Amino acid sequence: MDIDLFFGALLGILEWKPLLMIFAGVAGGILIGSLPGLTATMGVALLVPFTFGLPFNESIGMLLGIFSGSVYGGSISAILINTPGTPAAAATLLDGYPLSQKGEAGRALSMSVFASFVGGFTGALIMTFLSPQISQLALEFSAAEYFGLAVFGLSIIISVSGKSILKGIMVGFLGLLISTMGMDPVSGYPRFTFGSMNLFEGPAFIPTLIGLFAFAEVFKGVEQLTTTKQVVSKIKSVFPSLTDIKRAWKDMAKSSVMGTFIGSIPGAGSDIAAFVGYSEAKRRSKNPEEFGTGKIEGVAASESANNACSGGAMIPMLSLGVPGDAVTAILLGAFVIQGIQPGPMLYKEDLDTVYSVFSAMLVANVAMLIVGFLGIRFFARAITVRKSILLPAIFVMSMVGAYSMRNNMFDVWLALGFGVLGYFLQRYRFPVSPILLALILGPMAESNLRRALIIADNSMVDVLTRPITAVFLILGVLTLITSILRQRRLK
Amino acid sequence: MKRIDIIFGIIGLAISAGVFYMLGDFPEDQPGEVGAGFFPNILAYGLGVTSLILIISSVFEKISEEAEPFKLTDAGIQRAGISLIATAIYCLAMDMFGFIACTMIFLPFMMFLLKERKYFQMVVVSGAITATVFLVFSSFLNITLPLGTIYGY
Repeated sequence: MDIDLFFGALLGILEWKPLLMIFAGVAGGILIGSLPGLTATMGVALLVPFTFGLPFNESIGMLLGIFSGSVYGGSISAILINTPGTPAAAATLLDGYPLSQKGEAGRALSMSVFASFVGGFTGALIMTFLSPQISQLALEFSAAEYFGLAVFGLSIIISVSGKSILKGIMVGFLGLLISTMGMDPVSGYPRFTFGSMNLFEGPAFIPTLIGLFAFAEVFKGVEQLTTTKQVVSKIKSVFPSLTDIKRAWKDMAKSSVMGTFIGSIPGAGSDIAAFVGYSEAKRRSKNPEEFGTGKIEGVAASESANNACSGGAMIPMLSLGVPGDAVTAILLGAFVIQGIQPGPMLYKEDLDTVYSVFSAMLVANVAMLIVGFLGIRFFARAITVRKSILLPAIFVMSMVGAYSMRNNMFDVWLALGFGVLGYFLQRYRFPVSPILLALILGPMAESNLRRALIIADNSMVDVLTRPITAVFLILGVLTLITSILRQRRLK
Repeated sequence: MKRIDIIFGIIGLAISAGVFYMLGDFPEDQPGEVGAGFFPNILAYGLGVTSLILIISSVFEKISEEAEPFKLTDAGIQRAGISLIATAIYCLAMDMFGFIACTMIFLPFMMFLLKERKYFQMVVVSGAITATVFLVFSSFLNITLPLGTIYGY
């Protein structure tokens, strides 16, 4: 690595204009991320046109600021109102919301900012120093390995099933079936669309997410208006306590590395990384049964994993020209418009640009830490608003969020339908998170299994016995068995 | 939970049976190819089997958790039901009357339903939320919310 060139690029990013753009991007990203229904993808996509006319450093600074801010922003609504602002924060709510319910929203939010920074900064550092090597490893993955990864991810359903593994698996199968709705990824045959063009791409993910988490939560809140106490958040400090940091640093470190690696695999996004990080923290914990009841390690692991993913996702995008996720796909487009073609040649011909991107990513994470800490009291105050005011406001915001994805009222109805489903599932103690996990991983598992089978002449044995695939599958089975045994022991 | 779990199990079995029925219309797999129905078929089996296990285990369950009764006479259930109907009407009316008018009626109604009785505050907060959401989406994010066909938009 050319250190002089790197520091030259860093100084360029630290000039006041690019710096201002990074801070503006981070603040906007946190705002967009915290609104249910507005994803990082959407935020970056909407702001790309505004950056076309800007110099490269300012343009990329703003875009990476939005990218970093929005991933953290998703955790705010997950912690405060049990609704992940972005899919990446779905795992954060498992422990973040219970903490908030205990009146410890400030503790959860401060840990979320800190863990996001640790994850994001680690991801950016790994991206800076190891990007060519990591992308080489991820490049070895074929369809069979992706299928193995998806199955391993699906085994996490057991971990998020709460008291009843059977109910979790049942809901997981339902979620997987829902994920098969729409055009078949291989043949294009419309499956379970009931003749509706709106379902040709399957149920839109964001409205489904809003329905299952936001609407269901609002209906529950409306029903239990008089039976639940208004939670008052105590914010003693906007910084996480040393005790919490000591307790969670191992999980943060592990999740940061895992998140970066998962992010570097194209198609495996921050939502998957967050669940994998969370599950790993739960697996290695001495008290795994406490996860889901408001454990700070759960927040730390999922947030560091999903933010680390951002740096990871940039690795194949920059070094191979292959985007790691939807946001980096948009960033790739923005690079091309700026006259820069990401790929292996970029490292040889335009190292200055590569280092500017690395620097912007590192600075964006520091900016996220500053803006995040400064905003905690403001964000946590949201929860002290009376339910009679807050619930109708969430209703409207969720409806608009569902509508805004495709400017389509069908998506609002879809969200409402999933809201009713989520409400009844929650009411009768069926876990909702497995549906979410199934919707993310189902299409990945199916398309890759079928692709792998085509390559292997329909030999399932050939697909399942590929070394990396087999390792992922064994890990999945082990997760399943240990979870069942642990639950039996608890009974 | 016993009775409820059996009901959920039956619903699961019904969905599974529905999927099998619809799979009958899917194109047949070409030789040497895994078709569109391959994955849903496995999943329908999975849902069916887990639903059946849930029913059987519920029938033989000795100790059952206290079920929360779903009584239509319960004030909370009624509130949730009314809010669902109000939301459906809000969505139906939005195309015709637009986001601003509908939200300005929907928000105070929901607040009233949730026992808010500070009327001035209700109107001010509703106006502020409506204006903020509309402005942020239309100006900042470039998303046009329904303006209302009745006004010629």
